[in-house]
Amino acid sequence: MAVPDVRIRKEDFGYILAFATGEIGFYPDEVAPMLVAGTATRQSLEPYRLRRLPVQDRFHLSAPLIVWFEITRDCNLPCKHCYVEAGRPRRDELSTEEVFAVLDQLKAAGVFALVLVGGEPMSRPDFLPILHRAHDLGFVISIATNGTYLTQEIVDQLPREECIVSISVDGTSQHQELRLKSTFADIQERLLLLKRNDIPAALMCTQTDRNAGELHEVLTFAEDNGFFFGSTPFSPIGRGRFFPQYQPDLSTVDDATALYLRDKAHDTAMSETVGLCVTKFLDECHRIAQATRREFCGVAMAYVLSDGSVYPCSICASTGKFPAGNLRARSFAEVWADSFDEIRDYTFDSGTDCPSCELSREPYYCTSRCPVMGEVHTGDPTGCGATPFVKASLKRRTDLIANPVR
Amino acid sequence: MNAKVTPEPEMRITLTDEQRQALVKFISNTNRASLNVEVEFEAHVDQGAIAPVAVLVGNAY
Repeated sequence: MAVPDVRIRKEDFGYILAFATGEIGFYPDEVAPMLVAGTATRQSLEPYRLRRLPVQDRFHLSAPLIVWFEITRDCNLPCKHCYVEAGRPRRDELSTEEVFAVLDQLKAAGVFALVLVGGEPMSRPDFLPILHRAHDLGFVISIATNGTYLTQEIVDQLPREECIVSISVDGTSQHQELRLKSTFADIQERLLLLKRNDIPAALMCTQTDRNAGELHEVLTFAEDNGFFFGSTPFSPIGRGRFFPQYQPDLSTVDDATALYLRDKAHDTAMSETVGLCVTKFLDECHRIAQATRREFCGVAMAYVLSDGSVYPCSICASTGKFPAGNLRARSFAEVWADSFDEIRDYTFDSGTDCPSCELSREPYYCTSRCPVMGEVHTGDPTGCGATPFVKASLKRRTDLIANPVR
Repeated sequence: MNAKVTPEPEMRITLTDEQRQALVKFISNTNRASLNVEVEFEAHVDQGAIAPVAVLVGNAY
């Protein structure tokens, strides 16, 4: 499918337009006639861009911007921090035809971006037909993989447009410490194979209490080779709950902050080399969350498991919280319309600790006001979902961005 | 790989036939129906979100 100039979705307030060049914005109904007449340019639409959105009770978009679609839980790696405890497939996973039907439903609902995730998605024998079906339907795609299945034969069949291969990398020596059956050297080779074939690739890292220094080396590798990069802290969920010792603590804040600032500069440069991608839709999710003062999970994002069950996000899917039904019983549009009420009732004002926390106010943007992580850390869904590391990191990063000379 | 994407803000936006048909339908529906929702407040979406610390769901680019 040729890349369209713009992707369009109707919302209560007007439209979401996602341009092939990577810009995403909210617009009123007035832009529709301009688009139909063929006179619209991005420049001519700019004055119409909405700066404010009406927010009502249980606010949500007409469909997710992004859906994470676990097409199997099967995986060849027993990673210590896997949030879905991948290894064996789930009981009664979706067949090829059922996966195709889900993709059709997501497309019909208006979903823009899709992350094919596992388990290891490439372990499915029908991975390539699924990928091609998703690409033909026009999704902006990211493949979240451990990279071990990547060969020249697979790479030859990957889409060349609007598809990024995101490979999990957790350090140099620490990569194997966490992933047991995978080495950084092997993954470097797979990444360079993608580079030689002009396939955009990303290195996605989990920060632990002991790999911050190594992640600097990984970022240098990404910078040197034009790979995207991202990192997120270890969470004690899924298999990770058995290895809480990997959770970053206050001693790693300095290293993690330095990594973040380097990553931010790298990301700014890399972002200009790609049109639409999952991360740009994720940025919009954050913009919506910050503006509407509620999580974006179940509001602008959903997570579909390989048995057809639907959750607001990966954390909910991992912990079994806020289940929203199963696509074997109801269509995705039906599930999205009325099965996320409970999570949509949570707002940034729901947290019991937030009123006395400086991180709940500007200029900070705290993403730990999550009922599931609140329950994980405090036993109370209205409790604080942040660890001391996360709090200190958020404060340090925000303060340094506001005042870089400090 | 990694060539800079040129935004070209003055380039005319071309719709697919499917998009055009959908928009025409939306336009006629919008003219007939008015939005009737109880608005709690207006969210300022033009403010940039600062990159957060903990987003497990963001582990794909």
